[in-house]
Amino acid sequence: MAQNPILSFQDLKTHFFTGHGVAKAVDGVSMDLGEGETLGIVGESGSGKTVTCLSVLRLVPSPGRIVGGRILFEGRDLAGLAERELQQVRGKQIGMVFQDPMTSLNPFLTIGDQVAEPLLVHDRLSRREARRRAAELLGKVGIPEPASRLSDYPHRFSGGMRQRVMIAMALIGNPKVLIADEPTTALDVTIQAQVLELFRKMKEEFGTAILLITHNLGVVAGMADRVAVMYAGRVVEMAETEELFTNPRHPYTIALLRAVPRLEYGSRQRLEPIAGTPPDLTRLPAGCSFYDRCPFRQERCQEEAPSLAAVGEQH
Amino acid sequence: MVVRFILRRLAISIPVIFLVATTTFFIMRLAPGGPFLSERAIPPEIRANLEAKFGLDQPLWVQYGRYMGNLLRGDLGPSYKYPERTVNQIIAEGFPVSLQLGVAALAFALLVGIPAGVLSAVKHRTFVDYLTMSVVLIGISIPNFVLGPLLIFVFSLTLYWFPPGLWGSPGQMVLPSVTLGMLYAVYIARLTRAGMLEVLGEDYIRTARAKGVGSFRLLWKHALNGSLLPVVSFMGPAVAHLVTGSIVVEKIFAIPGLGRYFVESAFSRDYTTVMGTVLFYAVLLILANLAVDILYKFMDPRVEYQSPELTG
Repeated sequence: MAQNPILSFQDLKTHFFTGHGVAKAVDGVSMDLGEGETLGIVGESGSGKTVTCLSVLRLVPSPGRIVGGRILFEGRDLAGLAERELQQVRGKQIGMVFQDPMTSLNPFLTIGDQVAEPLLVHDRLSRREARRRAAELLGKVGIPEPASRLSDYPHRFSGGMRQRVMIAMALIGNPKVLIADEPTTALDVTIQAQVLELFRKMKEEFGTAILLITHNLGVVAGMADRVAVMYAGRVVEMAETEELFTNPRHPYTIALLRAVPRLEYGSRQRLEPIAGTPPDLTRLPAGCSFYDRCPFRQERCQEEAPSLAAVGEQH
Repeated sequence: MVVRFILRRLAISIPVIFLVATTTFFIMRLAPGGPFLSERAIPPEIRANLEAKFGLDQPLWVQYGRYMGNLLRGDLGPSYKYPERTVNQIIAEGFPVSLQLGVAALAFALLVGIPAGVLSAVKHRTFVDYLTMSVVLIGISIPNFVLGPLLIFVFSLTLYWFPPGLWGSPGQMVLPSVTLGMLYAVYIARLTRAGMLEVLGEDYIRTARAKGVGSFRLLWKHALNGSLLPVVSFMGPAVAHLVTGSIVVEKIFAIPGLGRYFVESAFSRDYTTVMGTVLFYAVLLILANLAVDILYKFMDPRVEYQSPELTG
């Protein structure tokens, strides 16, 4: 577990109450994010990574809601906080970058207004001062001639530029935690590298702790101090990044790593897909939810889910 | 940019007006009967005299040429049915009244429709939403020839709040404006609700919430603009229709507007009045749509006046 956790998930459960039953998107997630640390969360689509991070600021869309557990931020439980108090945390204490920069910026508002907004809402700065700070930060995230682009609308920016704007917007309140939900998934590969480099630079400059959600193991390997692997709404394995990549323990993690192409494999080596499909979250089995797809399954897996066992100090 | 856009659009509308004029001219002449053929038989000699006076004895293409020539000078000709009055005069007298009524009805429609739609969307699938949408359904279902007398019965004859008819004082404007604007109000409420529901599901609304934006600012600054775009599109034809008057509402409340001329002139084959009102309506429609397009551009920064492919 991390030293001095700034954000701590304790048995978080976020369920979706759909017409077909209750989908347990997040079902008992516990993990800590240390001060200034970058924690990667990996897992396939539907594993609950995004819902976990949306739960932090309670942005889970209906019909989903947090049904159990706590999310401690500096000792306060965000899951139980009044909406008005939570608003003070959003954008000020915790910033968020979303997956798709093409749809996550408001097409009707100028870049300047959108980036400066947290300063207007939280710090009650004057519009002029807020825009000055916005221009300054936009320059830092790599927008050329930022002052002259404040009055431009998002449709005049490319995808990569928009994601830079999103990052500036998330950082302008100088938050202690930055949650980035698949921040590079919607971008071209070359732009991905630039944006990741920007994350690294910003982390150095602002000392922000980052919760980095991705399904890209390469991104995690380059960015994260520790990694949590999620499957079917649970954290199945958690370790320091190097340790996880060299010494994975959970069968799902092993399978995940085998599905990644590597240079040393050569052209003859086949990638191994994970057999089967992700389980139906409304009808999870009693035991381990990976049972059906697991190459190492045993009799007892059907009855009980393996618990997180400490293997090393940080594993 | 804006000026060039407006000039170009106006230039394009000249052939449109020409086409409307030509089509209306010949369609009216195809209809059986004529302005001086009524139940009350007029002696043939007098009829011939009247037709000669207005040039109706000339070949059709001569009449057409003469009409278009006058039209170029802005002269819509004399009315055949209202002696001693020109069509220009009829429009000049009736339009200000219809315009007032139409603007009042439009104001009512927007002031009621937009808040109702927003409220309904924000309270989606709650009692408030269902109640609002039920009222909307009732509003759509009641025709104005029922609504008008109903309002008169309740608010004039029973409660004595507003006068039941005529035109002039602000009090007299209330009931006709509500009667005329109701259908537009409920339609705008539905459009606003649908637009707002769509916008509230957008990613950028989630982004705004993640920034700590409060619910009022969220609606007002982030959501309203986008959710009103369908309403703006609807406004073009709606405005033209509202300000040219409604025969039903004008009849019920005894208002001296333009609406009745549309219908009566067509029945009485009053060729020039029909032409005049139709052309006037066409011009208003073109102007209203132009205004809406400019407003649209003003509201949605993604819309460019020309060559959108040049941006990026």
